[in-house]
Amino acid sequence: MTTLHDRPRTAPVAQPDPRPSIAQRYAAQARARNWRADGLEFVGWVSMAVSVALFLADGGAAQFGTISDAFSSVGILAGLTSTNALLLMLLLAARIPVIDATLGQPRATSLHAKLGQWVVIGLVIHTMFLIAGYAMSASATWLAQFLYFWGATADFGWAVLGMVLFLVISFTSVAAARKKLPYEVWHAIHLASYVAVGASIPHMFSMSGLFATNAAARWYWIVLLALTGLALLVFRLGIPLLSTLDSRLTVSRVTQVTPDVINIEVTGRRVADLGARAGQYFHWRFLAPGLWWHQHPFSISAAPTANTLRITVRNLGKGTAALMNVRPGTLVAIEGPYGTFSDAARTTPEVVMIGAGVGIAPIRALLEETAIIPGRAAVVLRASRPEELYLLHEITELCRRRGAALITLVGPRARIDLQGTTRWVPQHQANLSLTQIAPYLAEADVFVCGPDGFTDAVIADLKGHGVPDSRIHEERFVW
Amino acid sequence: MSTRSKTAVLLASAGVLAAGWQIGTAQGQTTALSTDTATTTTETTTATPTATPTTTTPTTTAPTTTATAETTPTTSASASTSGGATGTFTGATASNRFGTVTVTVTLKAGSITDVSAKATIYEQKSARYVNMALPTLKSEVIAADSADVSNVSGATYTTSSYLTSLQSALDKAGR
Repeated sequence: MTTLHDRPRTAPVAQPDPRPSIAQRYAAQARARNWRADGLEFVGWVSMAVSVALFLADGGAAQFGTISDAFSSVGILAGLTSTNALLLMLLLAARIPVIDATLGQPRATSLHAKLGQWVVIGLVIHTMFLIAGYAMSASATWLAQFLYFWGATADFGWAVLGMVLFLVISFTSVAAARKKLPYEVWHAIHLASYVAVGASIPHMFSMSGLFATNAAARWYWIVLLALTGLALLVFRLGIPLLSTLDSRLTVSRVTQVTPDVINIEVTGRRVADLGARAGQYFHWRFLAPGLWWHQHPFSISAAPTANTLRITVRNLGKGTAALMNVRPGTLVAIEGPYGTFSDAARTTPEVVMIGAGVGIAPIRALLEETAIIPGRAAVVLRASRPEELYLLHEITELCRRRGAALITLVGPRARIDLQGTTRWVPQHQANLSLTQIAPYLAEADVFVCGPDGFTDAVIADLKGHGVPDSRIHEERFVW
Repeated sequence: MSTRSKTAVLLASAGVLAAGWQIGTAQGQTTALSTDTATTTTETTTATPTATPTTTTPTTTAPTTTATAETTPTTSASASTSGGATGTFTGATASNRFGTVTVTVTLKAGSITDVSAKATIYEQKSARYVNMALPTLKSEVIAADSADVSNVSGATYTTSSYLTSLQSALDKAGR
């Protein structure tokens, strides 16, 4: 049985074929992950049904008799389902280990964003329909009804504040707006979500008939809100704080890779207990003047050892520029490990790893740890210039030792027609196909890490070659 | 989403929704049957089932402009039982879909001699039902000398909040 850490010095000769046992292990791993994914999906959807069912159990079905009642009931239902979806969003953002290990950060984030759109639409419907419903039954105008609520209870004012914040948060998170905002600004606005949720809670329990009078419904929602809050506290604050305090990581060595790329090695206690897998990432905060206020997500660029982690950092601008001068001895705060860009994502014995720029770093780590069958594994490194093939020496050595093919593609992007359409491969290899590099591509797990445009282009190419989504594993440099 | 999870989600959601529907409709019938006539004062908690079910859903009517309704406190003596608290006690404010109710109870040697209630109403149309329910509840509570009184037909939410607040006032009085 081959274990993860077997590193044969020479290519195995006349040894039993490792393929069947690896295939079995990865197939079982993929099955388990699929079950977990189905389980999470199930819980998510059924929780939506429960939120509606509690309304029906409270006699909600009878509340559609008149137009005004029907409006109010639609408003109530929109409020209930949006609240449930909002809690699911918070859970997706809580970095709960089972969610991170099953969906992975890219999918969890895109689901969070997708749900976000529905939540905001739902909350707008909730507000409009309830005001309209009540206004209709009182033959009042919307404005009069709004002011009436405003005067009747302070909780309504808080709810309005929550609604306004939710609108601001959603507008700033729309892709187009988000690209124009500096990360810190966007993040500060996004943090207001907690205020928005908090401000909306009082009116749920005072103004809503369902929460206030139906004990079963009230307790259900109290428990749900409390558990969500607890998950956020534990996984976003508690565990990172404990990991940081327990491991006491400090920068132990900084080495220059190229003029604008450095390796940072951090050492601490019980680093292995963090459970990091090669290829995963942490959020790093270097506790030095001018650095401590900025947190960066960096993948580890080597398999973790008993007491060290290593990252490879490229100077990409303001935040990372300051990092270039980080000194040994600097204390480090971490959150993580996160991500599914590791051996845990494998589903089959064949593997192709494609990296560009500093996206080479997690691939370097993965190459060290994941199972490789000589002749059925390839590493593809892409760069504009030869010096951007970071960690090339280490990767060459690892590929030789482990029996993976190494292909480097260097040069500007290929233009394939007069319209300026480009391919992700270099100009002088414009017609290169991934199947020439890895004839087993359609059966392989493919790991892709690099800038957004590169990653998108490679994924489109892979899909064109019939690689299913379940075997494409990506990591992006996004926040 | 796999076929497996789609099927499971559909079946479970349908089950959950059907259960909710079933509970909702069953409860609707019970409420309708166990309503008491608004004017009857009962000493026991037994609700008299009436043959004609009355609806608990408020109907659309002309708007009332009253926002708050307060019953005028009257003093009515009640046969005093064993020794108990004497004084005025205000309960916690209880909320419901239509507004809030805060009940203040006056006790003499542990017996309820007077009850007054302050109600805020979110929705103008329900002021009518609240105004109707408060005097009824008051006389029922004084007659029963407890929070064990029946629902006021057409004012289920108000009754529930009224009795919750009353009970909290009685708890404060230590009875």
